[in-house]
Amino acid sequence: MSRRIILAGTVILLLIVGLAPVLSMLVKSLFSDGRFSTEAYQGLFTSHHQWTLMGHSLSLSLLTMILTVIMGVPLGILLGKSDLPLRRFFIILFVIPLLIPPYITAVSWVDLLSGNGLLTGWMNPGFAGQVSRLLFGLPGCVLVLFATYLPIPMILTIVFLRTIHPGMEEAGRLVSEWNGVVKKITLPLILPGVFLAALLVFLLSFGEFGVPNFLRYTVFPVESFTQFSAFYDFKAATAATIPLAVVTFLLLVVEARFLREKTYLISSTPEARQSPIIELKNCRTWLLGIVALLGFVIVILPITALIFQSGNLSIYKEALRQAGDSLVRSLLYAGLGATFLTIVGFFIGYLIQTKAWRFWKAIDSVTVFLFALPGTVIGIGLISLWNTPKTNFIYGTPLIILFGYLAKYTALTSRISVTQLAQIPPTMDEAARIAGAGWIRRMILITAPLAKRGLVAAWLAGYVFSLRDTSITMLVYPPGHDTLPVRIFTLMANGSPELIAALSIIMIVATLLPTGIFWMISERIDRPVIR
Amino acid sequence: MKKRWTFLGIIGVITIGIIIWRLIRSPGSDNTVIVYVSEDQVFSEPILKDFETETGIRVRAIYDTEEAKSTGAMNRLIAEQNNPRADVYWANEPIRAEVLKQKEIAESYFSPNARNIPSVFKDPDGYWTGFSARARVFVVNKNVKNIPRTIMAYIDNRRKGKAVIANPLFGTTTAEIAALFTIWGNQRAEVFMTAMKRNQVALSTNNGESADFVAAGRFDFSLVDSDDAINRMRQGKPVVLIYPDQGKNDPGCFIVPNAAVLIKGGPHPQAARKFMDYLLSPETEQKLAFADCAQIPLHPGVSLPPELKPIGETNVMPVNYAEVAGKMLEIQPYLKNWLEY
Amino acid sequence: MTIIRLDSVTKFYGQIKIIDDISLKIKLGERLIILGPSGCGKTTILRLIAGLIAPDEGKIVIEGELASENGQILLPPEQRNLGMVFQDLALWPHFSVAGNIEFGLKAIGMPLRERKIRIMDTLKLVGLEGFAERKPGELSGGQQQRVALARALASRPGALLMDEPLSSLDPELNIRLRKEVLRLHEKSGFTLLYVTHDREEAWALSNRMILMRKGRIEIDGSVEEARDYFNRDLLER
Repeated sequence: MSRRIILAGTVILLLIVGLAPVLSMLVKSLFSDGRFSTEAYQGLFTSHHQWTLMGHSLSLSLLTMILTVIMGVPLGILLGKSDLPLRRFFIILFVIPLLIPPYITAVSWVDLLSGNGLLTGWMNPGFAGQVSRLLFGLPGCVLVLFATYLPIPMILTIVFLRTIHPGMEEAGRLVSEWNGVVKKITLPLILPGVFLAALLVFLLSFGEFGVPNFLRYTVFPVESFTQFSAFYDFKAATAATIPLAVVTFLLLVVEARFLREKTYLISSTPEARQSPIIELKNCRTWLLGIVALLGFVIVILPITALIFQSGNLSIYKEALRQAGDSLVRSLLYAGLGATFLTIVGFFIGYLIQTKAWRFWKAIDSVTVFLFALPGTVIGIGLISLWNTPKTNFIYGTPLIILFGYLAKYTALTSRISVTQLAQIPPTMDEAARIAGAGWIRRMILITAPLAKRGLVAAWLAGYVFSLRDTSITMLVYPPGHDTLPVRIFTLMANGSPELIAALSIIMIVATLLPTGIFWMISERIDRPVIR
Repeated sequence: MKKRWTFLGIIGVITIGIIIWRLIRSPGSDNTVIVYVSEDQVFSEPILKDFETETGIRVRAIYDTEEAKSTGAMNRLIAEQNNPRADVYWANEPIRAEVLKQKEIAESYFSPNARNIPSVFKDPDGYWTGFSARARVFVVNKNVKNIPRTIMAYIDNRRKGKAVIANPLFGTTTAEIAALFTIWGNQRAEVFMTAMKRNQVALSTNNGESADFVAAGRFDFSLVDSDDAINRMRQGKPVVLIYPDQGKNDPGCFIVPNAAVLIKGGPHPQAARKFMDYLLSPETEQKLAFADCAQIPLHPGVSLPPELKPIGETNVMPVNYAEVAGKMLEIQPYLKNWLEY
Repeated sequence: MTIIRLDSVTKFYGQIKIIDDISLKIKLGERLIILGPSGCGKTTILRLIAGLIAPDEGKIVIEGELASENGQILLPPEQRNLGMVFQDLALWPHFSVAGNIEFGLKAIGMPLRERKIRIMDTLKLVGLEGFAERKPGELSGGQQQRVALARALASRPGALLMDEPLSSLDPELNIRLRKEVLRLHEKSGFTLLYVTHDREEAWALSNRMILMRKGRIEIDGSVEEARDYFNRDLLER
């Protein structure tokens, strides 16, 4: 009984907070003067320009996807299963860009490579001009998104490597070199993980618009939306997002068809700790060199650029004076957002994992769809749904920001919960049932503690993504309640580069510090030993 | 052990409760004004802060940027129409203000402080009032010998391929082209646009980029906003600022004022009017003139930086901003076509 | 006195009939062993009785109360007053030994003082005094087995269900723990329902035996009858 109430409550919350705004937009766009009409949809794709933009969007996402997978998978294998030195250090290093809002990475690259940047400043002017032209366009966008999303295939590769039964590889080793084993045995076994990574990177780059907007590359999400909304016609704007929704939807169909069941089954085999390690032998030195160089170029260099650009400490004082309250709010909202996301994601994940209801697949798809949908659509939907005199206590307060986070990012926490819950033997819960415990008691005392690591990971993911959100926050934050990323974004127009750089560094610290501390604490709590 | 956890749990719940309560506590007090701002935050925020210290009225603001095409503030104002949350909208150009008037989101208000602002920069019905303006000017590279003085330079054969302009689908560039359409009529304006294209004008993504191109010597000149030109001059770049079309029979220089709009049914009507008066005062105009945005005061007699000339001494393009707003919508398909999209 | 009754119970997994029209009465204090090859449905019977799954057809009555009927669970597992030892033991790794035992006592609302006494009694019963604060991960296989037993017995259940609990142990330990189970049964007199595929184990433990094959009961009788059946089976082949 209590189980049904809580699960139903969570699902209803998700539907009201997430789906209802989007649906209300859709329904409104289909009616004109109280009658059904497809008027808003007729202008769609009649102009050549729309196709050009869609082409830009697709090339940006495809290029980013291909590059990250090509680099990320080998990197994952090297860091997850070879004797390369400093593996843990490199894993942490490469993850950093994912934790930073991508447009801040873009800012740092502009500091480095624009017309008179830190690097281009002492180059031959002609060449510098070329470089800067490349930066403002497709290559620059790909570079930034590549650095940001490289950790996704890398981490998924490492995670999936752990699921391989060592016997399979050892059997291969008896008859072949490591090269052959990796190609013929390891790679096929982690293929679902690679596909999942590709899909994620594609969706994330497809919906990203801070970076293309900043680097002046016209892509579909930005341009279609702003063009249609230049005259503030919400119906047309909704219609403009339909192609995005279609692409998203198609990808989800592909995912559901080929991947979902497979990716749910990831659970590390107990023997994986003894998984055979690839000996690099004489390749070790130059591979280390390559990995170090990559890390230097895409992580250390940009951050150093920001530190250089920001100059001395007085700039930081000024930055904190101007944006200190935004920083505090950011931390608070991201912390609260992460907590709600973790709780909701846990129950949604439980629902999906146990297939408690027949429509679990639909709920899963809703969360992923919302995750892939551009935040602006959700943002406007939230306004039109919640801005009424009676619901002022939601729209007029930061609750609306939390609603936005919940609407957009539940997929992250629910998916993490699903994978974690899948690793808990069902007998744990069954034993507690037979011992006489009700559902709530079992959830709190048995399932949640056993899923602790997943909950921590979910909280961290929720924290990072809530903290770096601009698209929804910008549209719904109550006056005077802006967050740090939003403030950086609005200050970027004509703000001094030193100040922006300093704010970016503050933002990076605000992301990395709590993440690091939280992670360390959770590592120190003794790990559950599952027999 | 168990007791400690219960205790911590209760403390946690209470803390979260207090935080949430504080968050959702309605800010309804009358001593507040809610302002949506499309002028760059760097320039607008100090003005809002000054208002706070001078009047004791708390300002809660939502900022937006031209970069993001002001979708944040405008979309919100329109989406919030049924239950307005803002008191005042500070637009960085009058076109959006005109949209708000047409959508019946604005409320008429004649500020006593705006009496001396020339009527061309005000809505005759009082739905918006212009102040501190940008002018659409030429930024010209110093090495150019034959300095352009009229926008006809864009169709001058001798300058083929030497001019650049920002994408005409966006921002002040769209507004200026729409303005030309209103004063010339569609036919003449379209001839001009075609000639400009035949003269191989280059396109940039925005005015800042145009100014950078000219400063780097890649092109001779460009139409930009006055603040873009002045910024480059102050950075010591080899450029000069030229007011175009200052002759007697010329169309004149297009002026883009900021616009203050009172929102209909906003929650703090008293404070909102005080804020409107403050924005429209000569003092605010003077501050904005000497800030980095170097905006041109519309009140007569307000001092201004040396690069600019007073509005009274400028040949201003005589436009009706309401007409321009309508025209912008009308020529969108034409412009997309012109861009060969 | 019958403590558990199954009436024409049938269970499908997808298209496969895993339990085929089984009826069965289990008396108070009996030691009933269900023996059969893997996949014959013997574990499913335990799970049906425990209420973890519902029968598609037929009904299950526990202590006179209708517990499951035609696809519905009327009495959820937590209200059936049973104890169960799982094949993988399912000891909760984040609780101590005492915590594992205490969990169920708390769930049924036993007051603290009584709980403490019961935990000590139960630990003594299985010979694990002094291990109360250890975590399951710190115990040997045999000790873990005893914890699982203690956990299942602590609330004095009507019947104890055991699902191949000794199958993963080495033969020597297996024999020792079998004796332990017998000793506990003699001492406490609970009803035992024990599932295994190991004949040795079955001979040693049972006073009543069920042989299962393909979801049906082949033999329900004494150890001797079961032995006869096996010998005949060998001759006929």
